[in-house]
Amino acid sequence: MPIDRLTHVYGGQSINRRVRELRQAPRPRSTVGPWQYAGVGFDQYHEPAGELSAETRTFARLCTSLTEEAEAIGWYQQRLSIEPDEEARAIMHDAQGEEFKHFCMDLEFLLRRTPLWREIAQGILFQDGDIVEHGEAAEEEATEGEAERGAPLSGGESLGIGSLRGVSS
Amino acid sequence: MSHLLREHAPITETGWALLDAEARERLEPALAARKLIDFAGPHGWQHSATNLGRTQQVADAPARGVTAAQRQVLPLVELRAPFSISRAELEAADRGAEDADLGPLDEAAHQIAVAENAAVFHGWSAAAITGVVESSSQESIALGADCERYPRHVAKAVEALLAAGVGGPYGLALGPDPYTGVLETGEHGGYPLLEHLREIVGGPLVWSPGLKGAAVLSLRGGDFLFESGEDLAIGYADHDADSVQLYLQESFSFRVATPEAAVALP
Repeated sequence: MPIDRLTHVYGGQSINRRVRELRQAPRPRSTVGPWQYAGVGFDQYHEPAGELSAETRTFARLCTSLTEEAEAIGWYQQRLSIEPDEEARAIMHDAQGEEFKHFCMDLEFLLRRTPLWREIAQGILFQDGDIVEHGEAAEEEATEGEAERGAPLSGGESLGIGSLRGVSS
Repeated sequence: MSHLLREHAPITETGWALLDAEARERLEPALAARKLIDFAGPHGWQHSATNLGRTQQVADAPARGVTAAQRQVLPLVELRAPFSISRAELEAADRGAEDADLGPLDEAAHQIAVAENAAVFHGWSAAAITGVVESSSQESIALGADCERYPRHVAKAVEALLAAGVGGPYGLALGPDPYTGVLETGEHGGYPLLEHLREIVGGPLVWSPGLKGAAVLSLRGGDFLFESGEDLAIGYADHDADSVQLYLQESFSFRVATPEAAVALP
């Protein structure tokens, strides 16, 4: 169910809409850079947008989206923990499921565009055992492999082909 | 903005994603040398030369009592393959067309891969690159036209490498004609020829457009050194109402550190 249709349940606002409003709210003057326009949500860029490539801007937008989905998941979790009305809880469960889906789609997009991130994620996600140990091992293995292959990190404009050792003909 | 000027091209993000994905898809099967040699970098577009660690004496030092030596380097070479894409085809792709005509990109990708392979295997004197085949100190072994005899020739090449103290595993680079011949030869002693050759070299058989004949190379590392400045990328040159002029580009150097680590099979 589209989350915007649930506004009457939560007393006026959907979580995604609230996130957008918070992000677009006027900021203190000192935090507005020369590339920003008052009231426009350009704050997913940490550097001047005009100096960023189209690929990097898309990457940044999806990173922002990923953050928003994670925040929404956390907020639904809090609401669910205190909501006694079963019917409302069912709707919240359904809505949180939407956020899970959005988060996963954002993540998959980012991983597809960032081979090193993807490789590290493959060593951590859906693994049994110690998460920290898997993380350390995956990072070490992936960064060493990346350097050996000569593939660039994210944000570059090359095709990222690098070495093809081990790639079948 | 980078020197590739992609921001100036009348191409949407969807269009760039399509072009980059198509280029990768076409390049990876054809970039044979990269499947067999050491790849270092990419060190960036501003990287201009490979350090050789050697010097050359310079005569006539500016003052008495002083000697001079000049560092020797191997300059990187830039390869560029221009191509033109129809704007109508890019617009169709933006609307979701699955069959956009990217033929000129495919052709450019093949040609730049062939050029890279040829430079690595056969050298490029104008760019001061000595190739694997021409630098080999091993006696070459004629491959011939009879595919049934390939296992014997390849085994002899492996034996020569072992005799020279060059360890494996080894890889077999095959030019397009011999590769087709191997694929067409179904059985050899009850074993597919392709698999038989793989067993002999202990490594990959690589389809190598740009290579004449074949070559057996050691894959132990440290023998064949490819240094990338800018890895393959698509850049923007110009456009008009009908088409966008783009190019595939890379910069690299290549050198052979161990001439005895390869056997040519012309």
